[in-house]
Amino acid sequence: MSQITFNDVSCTLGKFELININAIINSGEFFVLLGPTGAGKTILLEAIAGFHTITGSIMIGDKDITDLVPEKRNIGFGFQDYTLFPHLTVEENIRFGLKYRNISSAQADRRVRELIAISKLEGFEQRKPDTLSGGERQRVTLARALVIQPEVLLLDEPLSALDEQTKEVLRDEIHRIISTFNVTTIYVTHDQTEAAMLGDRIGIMMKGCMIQVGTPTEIFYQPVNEEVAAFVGMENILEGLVTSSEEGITTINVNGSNLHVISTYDTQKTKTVRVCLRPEDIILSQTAVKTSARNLIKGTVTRLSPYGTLIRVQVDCGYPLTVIISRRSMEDLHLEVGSVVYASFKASTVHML
Amino acid sequence: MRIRTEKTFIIFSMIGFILLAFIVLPLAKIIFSHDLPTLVDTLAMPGVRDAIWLSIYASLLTAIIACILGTPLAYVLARKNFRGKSLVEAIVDLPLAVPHTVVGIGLLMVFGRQQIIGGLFYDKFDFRFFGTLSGVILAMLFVSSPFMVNSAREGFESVNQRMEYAARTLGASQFEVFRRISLPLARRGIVTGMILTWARSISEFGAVYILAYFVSFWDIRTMEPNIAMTAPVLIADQFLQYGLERSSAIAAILLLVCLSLFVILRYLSGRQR
Repeated sequence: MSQITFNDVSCTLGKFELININAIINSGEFFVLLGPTGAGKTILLEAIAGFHTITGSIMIGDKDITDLVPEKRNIGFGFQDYTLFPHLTVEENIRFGLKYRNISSAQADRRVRELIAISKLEGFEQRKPDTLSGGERQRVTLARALVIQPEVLLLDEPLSALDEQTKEVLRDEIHRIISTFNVTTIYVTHDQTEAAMLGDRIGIMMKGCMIQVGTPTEIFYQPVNEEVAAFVGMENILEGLVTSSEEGITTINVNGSNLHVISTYDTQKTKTVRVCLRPEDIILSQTAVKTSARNLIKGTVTRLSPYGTLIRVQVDCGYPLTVIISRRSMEDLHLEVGSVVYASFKASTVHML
Repeated sequence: MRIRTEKTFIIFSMIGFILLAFIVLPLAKIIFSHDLPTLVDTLAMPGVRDAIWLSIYASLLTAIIACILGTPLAYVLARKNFRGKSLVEAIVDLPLAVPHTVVGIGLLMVFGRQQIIGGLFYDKFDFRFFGTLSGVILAMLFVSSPFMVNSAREGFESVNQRMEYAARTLGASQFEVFRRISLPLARRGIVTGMILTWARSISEFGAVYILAYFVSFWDIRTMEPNIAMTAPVLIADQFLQYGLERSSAIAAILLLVCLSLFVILRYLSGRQR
């Protein structure tokens, strides 16, 4: 269990690159690297594992590993595509790394058995990887990486090839297994749900840069810029002019309608600002109900579209708002295109970019 | 029920059939133009038996040597990009484009008794390539090496490189990864390469003809020195001396031997996995 430190890590690899990555992953932390495809997340993992030449330095604990060969780094790596050795059985796969550790075969046996038990792989020991389901293979991959007692565990989109149901079960499983070992983990994904559910902290990567590092709440409610906001599902990004800022409430005029934000703003500065708001933080009602929400605005439904099991509602309130509600709410509100609704949201849910 | 006609495939298959017939007909003709007693009589001739044995033996040794020399290069080509890689690839394929008598002449100009490498071996060890089993193997190796390298390379390329990465993170050095992961997983490609190398070698005439017409070799069947021609050379020799009848009987035997080995090896390599 060790802290990982990135100092000005840069790397170019064909059309992918890493640009000046600086970050600290705390000891024992479950850190999620979140970003769109091609952002450089996998390269960063592979750089930690030692597969690419980098500039800058990477430390694990107080040891500089920048120039170490991969086999000397003591890192557990779970790859996205199954990289189980197809010619070896499940047990031989898990045991593979122990051959290169200075331990007796009795100790090795014990560790392999322990990992098989924790990963719930009893009965699969003598099977070959190609006879396993996707979820089982990922558990073997994880066991194989953890059996060597790595200082750091790196997982590259371990769930991306699985169906939704398996994904959910395995997500919890991975979390449970990893917490037994209390190992510093970096988990790469492009899936916000996974990131939100697993991460102690999240790092947002885009175009080779680490744009924001923070707790899930910070990432999902206080994105640092419009790109991050859009990526983490802040579907409402609005531009307006600051008209006043007093007693911690800033009022912004968006297309003629006032919007209140909990924030102090220096009105001497440029008055054009952008704010963002999550679609699930907006409540729709048929009448102008008085609630504690400071923002209440009348609008017309312009579009209804299914969003998984939910419904995405587009409302024109002078400015466009996207709202996500349940199917039941839609029926209760008798929503259809052209319906007049009231949208309300708290001033605290609006984030100024 | 509507029957779907796939006109393109029907026409293409018919064209393909012409090619297949072109391959099969001459071979079938060789085998079936001799009755069994003739073949047995031919096989009873010592020169014929020795020639067939020498061909099998030399080509087998060639396949083993090609595997040892070709596999490392195949791995490098499968895994690394470097400046001049296309030149290396061109050199690997070069033997396919060089006429085999030219190969024989070239080898003779390097491995001949008074030449650069041949001279060294002759002076230091009293070892000759011209007219020996070593000469046969040189000739066979030259013409068949592209099959070994290219097949093994395909074998290595079919191994997911991330699998090798995974093995590295688990503590295996590059050589350990090669030994425990890449080599076993590329086995099919390597074995296929050896079969192709063997098949190409046993059929080699031109280069062998120049380098070792009469071959003196240590015969491991009798544990005594022996002299023979390789089977393709013997067939040419008999054709020129006695004509079609006699040479085609030997040809039939060589063909049967090759076909049976080919079938067995293909079966064995197809079964493993």
